[in-house]
Amino acid sequence: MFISHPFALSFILLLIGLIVGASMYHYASRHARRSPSSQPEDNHRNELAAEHKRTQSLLRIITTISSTLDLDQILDRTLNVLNEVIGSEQSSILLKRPEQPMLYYRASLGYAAPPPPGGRPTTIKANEGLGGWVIAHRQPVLIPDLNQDPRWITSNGYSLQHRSSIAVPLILGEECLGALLLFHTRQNFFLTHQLDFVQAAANQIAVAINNADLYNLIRLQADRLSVMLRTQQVEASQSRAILESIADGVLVTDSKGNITLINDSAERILGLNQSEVIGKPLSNYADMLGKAARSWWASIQNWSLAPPTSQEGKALAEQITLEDGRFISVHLAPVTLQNEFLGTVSVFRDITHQVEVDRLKSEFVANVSHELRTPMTSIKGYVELLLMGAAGTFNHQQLDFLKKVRDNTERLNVLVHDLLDLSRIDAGQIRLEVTLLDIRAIAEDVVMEFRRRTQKEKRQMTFEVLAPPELPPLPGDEARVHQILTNLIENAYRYTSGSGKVIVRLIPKKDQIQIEVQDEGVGIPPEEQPCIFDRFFRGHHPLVTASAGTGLGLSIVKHLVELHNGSIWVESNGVPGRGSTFSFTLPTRTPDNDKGSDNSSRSATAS
Amino acid sequence: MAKILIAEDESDIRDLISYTLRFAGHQVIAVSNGEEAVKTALEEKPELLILDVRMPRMTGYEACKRIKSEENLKHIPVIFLSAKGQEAEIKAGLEAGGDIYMLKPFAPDDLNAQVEKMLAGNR
Repeated sequence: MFISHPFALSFILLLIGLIVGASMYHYASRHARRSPSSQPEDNHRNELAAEHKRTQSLLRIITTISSTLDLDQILDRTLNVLNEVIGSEQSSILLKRPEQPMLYYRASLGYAAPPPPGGRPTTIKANEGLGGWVIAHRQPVLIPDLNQDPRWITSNGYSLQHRSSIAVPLILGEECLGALLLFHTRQNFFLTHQLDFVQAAANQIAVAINNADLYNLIRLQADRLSVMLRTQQVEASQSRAILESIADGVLVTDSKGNITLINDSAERILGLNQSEVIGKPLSNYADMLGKAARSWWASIQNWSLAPPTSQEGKALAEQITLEDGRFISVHLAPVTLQNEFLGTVSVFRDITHQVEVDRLKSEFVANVSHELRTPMTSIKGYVELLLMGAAGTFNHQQLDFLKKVRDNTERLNVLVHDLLDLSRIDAGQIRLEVTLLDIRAIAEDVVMEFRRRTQKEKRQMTFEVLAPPELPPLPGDEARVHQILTNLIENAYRYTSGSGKVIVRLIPKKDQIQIEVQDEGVGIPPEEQPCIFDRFFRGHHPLVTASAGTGLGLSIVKHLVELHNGSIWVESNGVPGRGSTFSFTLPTRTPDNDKGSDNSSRSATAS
Repeated sequence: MAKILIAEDESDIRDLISYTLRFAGHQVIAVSNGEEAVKTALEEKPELLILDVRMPRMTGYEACKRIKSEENLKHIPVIFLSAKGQEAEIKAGLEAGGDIYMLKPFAPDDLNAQVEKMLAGNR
C-alpha cells in the first residue's frame, strides 16, 4: 500500500491516535476497578505510563515516517526514537534485495559506523546470521546473550561489543523486506514486553521502505516517460521542420476527408491558407485544381467511403494542369494502421519547369532533326543519282563505296527519325488518330512492301500472313500500327541470314487481337531478352552489329503498343535458325481518348 | 515529258531535284521562294508543282494556297517536299491543297515515281 496524499496520512494518524487513546482509557478503567491495593496500583500506574510512552513513541515514529519521503532521514529518525525508547545503544536495518544473495546494510544508529546514505552491501548472506534467521522465520527474537547464541555471527572486521539484542522482521503483507536489529553492550538488557513495540515500529518501517520504493519506482517511471515524451516532441518537431522545409507540398486528410495538415509548400502550390483549411472537409476545396484533378479527388472520396485494406496499398500518381498554366504532379497514398484506414497523404510538386524543359528539349530535337535532314537530302540524293548512272558509269569498287555512303546516310536518316519519335513520346506529344482498322489489310500491305524489297535485293525470303477468315475491326492509329508491324518485320528480315520465312499471325482473343511476327533468324539469347526493348540496346550477334540499326526501333514500338493499351513481348531460345517470335496485343475496345495524348490527365496506378 | 515548276531555297537541293527530273526527261523551271513560285506559275502554267515548305518570303503552304485560288491554276497537282514529318505538318500541307507530302531526304527514284503518278492522274 502506498499512501501519497498528506490528508490521507493525517487521517490515519488521527485514527491511530483515537484507537490508542481509547484502548488506554479502557485499560486504565479496567485496572482502576481491579486494584484495591496501592502497590499494584503503583505498578499499574507505571505500566500505564510506560505504555503511554511507547504509544507516544510509536506515534512519533509514524509522524516521522509520514513527514517525508527521504528514506535516509526517516530511518535515521526512527532508529533514534527506538534507541531512546528501548534504550538500545545500536540499531541497524538489514534489507533483502531482489536477486541479490547478500543482505544490504541500509541504516544504522549508535556506536557502529553508519553506512553511507542509501546504504551499502554486506558480506552476510540473506539466509545467514541473526538477520537472516529473522527474515527466514518471520519471527521476532530476543537474545539475552549473543555470545551464547549460534545465530549470531560477526561479519569480518566487526568485533563489536554487542552482547544482547532484539531482532524483528520487516514484514509487509506477504513479503519480508529485511530485519531490524537492536543491540546493547550489556547482557540481558532487553525485556520481553519491548518486543511488541519494536515489532510495531518495524511494521511502520516496512511501510516506509515500501513507500519509498514505490515513490522511487514512480519517479523513475515519470522520468522515463518524460524522456520518452521529450524524444517524441523532438521527433515531432523534426518531422514538422522537414515537412515545412521541403519544396514538395504535403496535404493530409483524415479518414473522413477532412484536412488535418497542410505544409507551406502545399499552401503555395494550391493557393490555400493553412489557418483557413485545417479541419475543413477537402470537398470544400475540390474545385481548386479544376477538372484535371478529378481522379485524385475521386480516389480520396472513394477511400473515405470504402476504405482500402492495407494489403491493397493503392497509390495514385497523376499530372494536373492548373488553369494558370502550371503543371502539378500529385502522388496520393492511403494511410493505414493494421487494417484501419486513417486517411490519405497527397504530395504535390510543381513540375511546370520540368514540363517546360521537356518541351524545349523536344523542340530542340525537332529543330536539330529538321536541320540535319536538309544536308542529308543532298547527300542521299546525289549519291543515288551517281548510283543511277546519271553522271556516267563507275567501276565495281567505286559503286561499292557509293553504296556504303548511301547505306550510312539511310542509317543516319533512321536515327534522326527515331530520335524525333522518342522525343515526342517523352514529351507526350504523340496523338493517336484512332479509327477502326482492318489489321489484316495492314499486315498484307506491310508484307507486300517486304516482298518487293526481297525481289529488289534478290534475297530468298518468303512472307506469309495467317489469320482466320473473320477478324473484328481494331480501333487504332493506322500509321502507328503500320509502323509497329514494319519495324518488327524489318527486324525479322534484317536478322535472318540468307533465306528464311517470316510468318505474321493474327489471332483474335477475348477483347484483343494478338499479332505475332515469327522468323527463322539468328534469334535472341535469353540474357539479351530483358534488355531488348531498352533504348540504344543492340544485340551482340555479328549480323546485328553489322547492320545499320539504331537500337531505338523496339523501344519506340513498345511505346506505340502501350499507347494503344496493348503489350509486347518476345520469345526466342537464342538458337540461330530457330529465330524469334515477337508478339503484341491490341485491344478491340476503343482506347481511352486521353491516353497518351496530352499532359493534362495522364494517370497510372501502382501497387 | 512535262513542264514542272520547282521552288526550293536550298540551291543544292534545288539542283538535285532539277537534275533528277531533267534526267527523267522533264522540262524544269526552278525558283527559290514561294513568291517567285506563284509569279512563275501564273506566267508558265506548269503541269506540276514541287514546293519546299520552309522558304523565305513565302512558305510553300502559302504559295500553294495562292495558286489553288487561281481559277486557271488550281488543277495543277502539288507535291510538297519537307524536312518536317510530323502528323500536324503533313495535315497542314494537305489542307493547303497539296496532293502529296514527301519527306526529305528522298531517293530520286521515289520522287520520279511520285511525279509520274501525279502526271498520269492529271492527264
